[in-house]
Amino acid sequence: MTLAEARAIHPVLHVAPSTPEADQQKLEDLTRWFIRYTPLVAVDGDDGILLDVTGCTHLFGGEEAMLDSIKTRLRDSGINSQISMAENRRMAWAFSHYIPGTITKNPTESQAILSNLTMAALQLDDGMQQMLFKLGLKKAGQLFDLPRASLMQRFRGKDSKKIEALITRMDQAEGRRDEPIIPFTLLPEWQVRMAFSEPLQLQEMVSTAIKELLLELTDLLAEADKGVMRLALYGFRVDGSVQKLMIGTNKPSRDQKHLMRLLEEKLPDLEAEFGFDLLLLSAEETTHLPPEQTSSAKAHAEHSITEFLDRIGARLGPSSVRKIKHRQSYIPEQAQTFTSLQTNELHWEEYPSTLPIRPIRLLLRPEAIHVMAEVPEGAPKRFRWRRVEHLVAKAEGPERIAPEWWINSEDPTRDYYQVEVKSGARLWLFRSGLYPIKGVRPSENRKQSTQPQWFMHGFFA
Amino acid sequence: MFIAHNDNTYEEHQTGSASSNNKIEALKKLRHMVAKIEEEGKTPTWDMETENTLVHATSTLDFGELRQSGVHEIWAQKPIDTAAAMALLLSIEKENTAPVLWVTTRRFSYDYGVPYGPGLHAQGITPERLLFVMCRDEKEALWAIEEGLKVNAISAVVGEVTQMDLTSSRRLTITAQDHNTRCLLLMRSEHAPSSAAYTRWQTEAGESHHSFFNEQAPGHAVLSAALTKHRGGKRPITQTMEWFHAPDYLYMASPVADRPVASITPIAQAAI
Repeated sequence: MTLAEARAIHPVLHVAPSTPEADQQKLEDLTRWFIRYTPLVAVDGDDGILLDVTGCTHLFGGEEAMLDSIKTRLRDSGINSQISMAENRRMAWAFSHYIPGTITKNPTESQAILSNLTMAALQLDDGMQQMLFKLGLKKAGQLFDLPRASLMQRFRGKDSKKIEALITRMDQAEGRRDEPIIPFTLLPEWQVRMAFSEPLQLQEMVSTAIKELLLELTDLLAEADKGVMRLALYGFRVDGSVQKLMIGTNKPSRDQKHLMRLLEEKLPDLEAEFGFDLLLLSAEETTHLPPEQTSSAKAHAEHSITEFLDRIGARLGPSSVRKIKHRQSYIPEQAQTFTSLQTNELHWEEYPSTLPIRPIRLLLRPEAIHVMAEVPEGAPKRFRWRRVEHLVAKAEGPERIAPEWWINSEDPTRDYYQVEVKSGARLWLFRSGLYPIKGVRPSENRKQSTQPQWFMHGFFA
Repeated sequence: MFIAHNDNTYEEHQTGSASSNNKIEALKKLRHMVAKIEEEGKTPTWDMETENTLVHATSTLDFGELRQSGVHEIWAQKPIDTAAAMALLLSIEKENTAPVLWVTTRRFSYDYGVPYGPGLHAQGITPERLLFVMCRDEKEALWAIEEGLKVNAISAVVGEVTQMDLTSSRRLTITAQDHNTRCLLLMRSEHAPSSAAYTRWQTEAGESHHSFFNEQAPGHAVLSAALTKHRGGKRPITQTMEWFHAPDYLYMASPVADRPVASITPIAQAAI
């Protein structure tokens, strides 16, 4: 039926465009919100959310109370829901879709309820449902009553695959076959939570609560000889949205003070607005960390330096601390690169000691200078760099650095000069390109065929 | 290594009269008191005796002040002298093996470049020791410096900044004192504001003497460092130094030595 037809039948039709992406996004947001109930949540199809609440129900006062709480909260935020709880995901799906509100606690009970439901409750595909219907099997119970072995034998050939799927589904429903839930977020290894009857709005109160949580978490980690590498803080806001902070450490840690300092760096990013009613702290990644011996001074020093680096990383971004690494290249600016802290091979021992002296500071990129008194095949006598004129008193060079032809032969050859200006400062200048000599050497700069350019590149001590 | 030469000609204080001796004694006591108050319990380093022996001697100065914990400002006289200021800083740092935390800002590294490993190598600093912290602005840099000062395992925190007010400088000083650490600020700005730093040095590159074999080439680098401020009460002093690559090479940075190339041929021959 087209929209025009539908409108002809019912003129006051409310029309809204279908937005599957937005729907999926909303569903994912809602799924994330359910982390407040259990860490193991997953999106189920287009309209379902699956929670594994094993071991979580007592936190909410039992199964009934938990379902009530979910139901109320969803209703309050304007979401219609059908919820049930059973001992495996297939049963739970069947109940929530056909008799919402059901809570079953043991397999026989749920099996009995499932028997009275239609075949569709088993989430079979249409073809299979029709085939079973033709065979006179309408209720799920009828299928379960059939002996499995004969069921397998009756369908041969191309139907056997379908039957295999059917048997699998039946096994899953009965709980004979495990069906893992692929969690929506990475499962944390350790998690602690704190719920509040009154929403928390002030940052001081939030940070006090986090301290408590950290204390609890670090105690747990200490018992298990674990140290945290990545820590996440989830703040569940009253309006249903979830705020997340993430911190990482360079070495495993369970030092409560250190972790707190790292979290405090990020706390201003947390937007409480109407307040948080639940805070959840989870160690997303942990590694083995044996109990510490605090007497070693060296260990302590190393400790403090990694703690410092963590703090810097948390505030300025993880890539703000760098080391310098040597790269085998003759091009000066390519002989040094910045690399991450984790790299231990910096290759400075490979730096050739035979090269002429190099400046102690190098400009990030060579800057063009205006040469006023040029000497052919020599250093300039006078030049202007950054609007200041410099008189060259002494100069040494050139050190000719040719482009690395195996990488890029287009670049012109550079002639480097160490010059000392009148005041005594020493600079590293280079001329990019050779002077063309008529008949002997054509201009290197084929594209522009102009005179070579001069550049300022570094400072000597 | 640096060979230092004292450029200062102080008048002699000990003229023999009893009254001036008393004055000197009183001054000494006062300076000790001031130093004590400012140092908050540290033993003052200022000493009249050594000061007097320094007056006449052209000696190697070891820049011992820069090894003290606290904040030291090393200023570049002109933008182009930044490398000279850095050379002074490196000459102190090369004795240690502990990592150096090098805090810089995008702005500073754009204007004055970044430390260059191959060049540091020649100055006796292994580039592996440097830990760079690249900050977006000076505010972040000051925070990073302060955090770095709380770490004992670091040889020194080097900060490349252009602005520093009294409050931030005081903060850094207190942190450095509390943790017994060292902060070397490589500074460059048009004005030198008042600060709480322990020492302040003005550095400037100087004209070099001729190189041995080539009259047109720059000789050994010369830099002059002036101690313009000292919380311990030391007098302003200016040093001119010459920098050598060879570790056991002695040279006097005095104009007398700056003779034409021809006259030192025997030395050159000996060197060959």
